[in-house]
Amino acid sequence: MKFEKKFSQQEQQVSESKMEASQTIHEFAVPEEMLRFDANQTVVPDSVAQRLSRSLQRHPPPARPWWKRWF
Amino acid sequence: MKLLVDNSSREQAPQASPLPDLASDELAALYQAHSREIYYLTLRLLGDAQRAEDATHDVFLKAFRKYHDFRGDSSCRAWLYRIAINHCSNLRQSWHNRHVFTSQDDVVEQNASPVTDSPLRVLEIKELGNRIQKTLDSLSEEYRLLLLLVADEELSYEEIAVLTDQTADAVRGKLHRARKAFTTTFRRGE
Repeated sequence: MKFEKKFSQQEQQVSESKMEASQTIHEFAVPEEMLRFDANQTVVPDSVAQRLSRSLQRHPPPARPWWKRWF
Repeated sequence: MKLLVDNSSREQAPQASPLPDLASDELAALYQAHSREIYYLTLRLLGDAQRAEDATHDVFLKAFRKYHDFRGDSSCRAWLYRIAINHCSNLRQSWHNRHVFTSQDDVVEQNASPVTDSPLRVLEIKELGNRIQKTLDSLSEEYRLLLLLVADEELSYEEIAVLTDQTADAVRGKLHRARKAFTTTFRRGE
């Protein structure tokens, strides 16, 4: 009984490690697919948004001209 | 040809954080929709996270200031890319970081095996960024920019042609050579 339990645990570990390995292998047909994938993993640092907000508070963008509101 | 891409990561791709206290919802939406692509372009063109952060800030600030002058001749994404490309180009010139590539790409192409025969394999995602950066750094500026722009599915060949000042046919031709150069260099690192 104990052996069975241990065996099933080992089996589970092996299958889990196999699954992990398969998840970390990626194949890309062309470089731009790889770049797209890389871009999707990229996170814009929050500090960019915060800095932008501060910059806009100091120097707000010009208001839309009144005549452009007609178009 | 098999393509094993973990699509779950695409679905869970992190979104840019919204701009706090931004004067206009329109500008906040602009940032939300395009900041990751602009940041990624500057990151890979400049090869440095801090520089990319500064550049992304400057690009959006410039865009926000000029937003009302944007005539809509191109897509918003293409307009932002134009600002980012010019900005990075100016930065690189001022830093004297320009490298002169002579026949290096030709050598790479001569040694290149057909790109379609075997896909590019990547084992570890965490190493992927470094390897991509090294590979891109070894290419000419033109090839690097072409590959980065083509990677954005929102851009058409015509828009890329306008952004890179050439015809769409020229883009297609150069893209083929850029892929070969990238693939050969990338495989050397395996």
